[in-house]
Amino acid sequence: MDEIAASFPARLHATSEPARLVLEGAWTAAGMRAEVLIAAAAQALSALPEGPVALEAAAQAEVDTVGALVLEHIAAEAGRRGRSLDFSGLPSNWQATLALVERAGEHTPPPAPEPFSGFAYIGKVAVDLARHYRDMLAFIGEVTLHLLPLLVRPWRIRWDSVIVEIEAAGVRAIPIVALLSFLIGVVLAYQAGVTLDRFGANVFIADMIGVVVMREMGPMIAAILVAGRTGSSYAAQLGSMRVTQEIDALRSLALPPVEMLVIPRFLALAITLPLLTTLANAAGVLGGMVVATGGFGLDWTVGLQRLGRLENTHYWVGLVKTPVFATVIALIGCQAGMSVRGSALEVGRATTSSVVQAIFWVIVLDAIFSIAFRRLGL
Amino acid sequence: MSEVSEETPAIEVHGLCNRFGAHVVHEGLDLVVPRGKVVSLVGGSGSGKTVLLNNLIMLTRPAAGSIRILGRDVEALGREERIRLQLRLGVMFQQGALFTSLTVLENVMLPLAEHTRLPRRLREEVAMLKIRLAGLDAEAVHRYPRELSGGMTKRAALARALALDPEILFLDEPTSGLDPVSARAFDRLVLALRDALGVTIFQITHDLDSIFGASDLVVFLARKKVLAAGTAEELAQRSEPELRAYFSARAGGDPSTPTL
Repeated sequence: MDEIAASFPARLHATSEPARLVLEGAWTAAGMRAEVLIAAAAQALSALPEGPVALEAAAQAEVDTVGALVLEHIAAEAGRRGRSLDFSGLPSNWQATLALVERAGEHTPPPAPEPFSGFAYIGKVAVDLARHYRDMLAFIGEVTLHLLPLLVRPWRIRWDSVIVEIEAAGVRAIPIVALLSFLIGVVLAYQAGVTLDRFGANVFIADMIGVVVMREMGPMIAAILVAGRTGSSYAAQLGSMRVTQEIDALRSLALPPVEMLVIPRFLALAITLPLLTTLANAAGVLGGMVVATGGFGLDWTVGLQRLGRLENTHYWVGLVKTPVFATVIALIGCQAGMSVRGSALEVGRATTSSVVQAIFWVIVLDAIFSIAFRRLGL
Repeated sequence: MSEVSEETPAIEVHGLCNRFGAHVVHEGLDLVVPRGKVVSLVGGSGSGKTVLLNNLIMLTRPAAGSIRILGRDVEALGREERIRLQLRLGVMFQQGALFTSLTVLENVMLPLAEHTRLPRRLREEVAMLKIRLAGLDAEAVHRYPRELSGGMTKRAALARALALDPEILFLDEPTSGLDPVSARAFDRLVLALRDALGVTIFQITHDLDSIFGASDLVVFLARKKVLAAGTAEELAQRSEPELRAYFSARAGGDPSTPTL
């Protein structure tokens, strides 16, 4: 059919004795120039004498619903000019197609719902945001309600799930966390070294690296990597479980999804992140020391002595933040996953939003911690 | 329709073989589908119905054998000819396969926008016409697929399959997951499309009411080939054990019938 369409595009011509429009070629979807045909028909009609105009189809001409729709437009155009078209001369399959199109009724789609604009959009964003934080609060409440009884009876926690999650979130993250922390240590030592070297204060590179890495960089690097690696996978896992109705299935089996899925993941991160942070601290300090000894002539043993003389507070100040970070990452990831409604498209959106939110809150909380610890004189 | 296309069957398959590793799905399968008929492909689970469908809609290539669609040998087609042939086929997938990021109207308009030169207003009208033909309410056209019920999804998928006025319409289990009332309405819709547009309909179905009530020809797939083809009543009279087992399910299961 469309081979014909390619070689015989739809066209029409008029004859005045008798007054008629002859339709030729393929009046089909493929290759039809609807607006050209409608204009040509209007032009042909105006040249024809008064009276009804018969429509005829050439022997090889073809029609489908698109062609019939264009004929309807031509009839409407004729009507606007006070002319009437007579369809009765068309072959039966043309008649049938025209009847089908006519039977289907109104062709203009109803107006699309208005997209939000201006003020309305700001309002919508505000309401969405408020709703999101209300849902988040409800989720935190739900997790707490499930967690408290479990803390009294810890043997009821699903430890096998916890172990699996620790492996995924912790053990497999070791190489990337160690490598990136080492590199951060290297970068910090270079920047500090150039300045301190000018004052001949090379020995303080070790102090500086120790303090900065253990208080800030170690916990931050570990938390950000875990947010990107694990928080996102929590959102994706739980989100796709919602799409496939696995979460609903758990509920119907009287297995609370929060207890089955969220709490093991939350506990796994709460255990894993402090350990990963300690690893990040060690790797960062090692990276700094390598640069300090190799690049700025610091003696390795002197450096170690300086580090040994640092107060333990620095380490604990860094470490105490990590369970908070772990909670934020796990809750945001799981909540994003659990809030997925409907399609697979939502899973992607939830995953992205969980990473952005988790990193945002990790950095905000870290700033709050820094100020609080300064006030406390730690 | 031109004279030539009236004579050639819609689908001709000869000596088709499909295998996955050592597992042979089809061996020497022959099939002829006449034009303008509703043809139901039936067979037990694992008999290779979907594999055959994927061959016919050119998503996968068979290991051996020839397939002619609308008189064209699909193996011999160049890229351009292949695309042109594909545009003459409409496919409705089992789960609908509507694009989730587009509304129903946009879903139906997509093939029109990509493959025709119609102006936007006319594309909307054509899409709307197909949506109406598929029996979907006008108020549903601006909804996204996730906001549709099962029956509405099927109808929206049918509307998209009809977008380019296909000559052959492939339906993969069109009535599965529908309530009996909607399923019968869908059968009537299929017959109406056959009568109104002269379209050939090739459907996979397990629905015995569709097989008996809304099929011109039933093709039964078993033993890696087309075991039998004919009207539903003819097949129900056949003595092959597979056919007897399949069709006895309708009569509530005859205990004397051997089952596989």
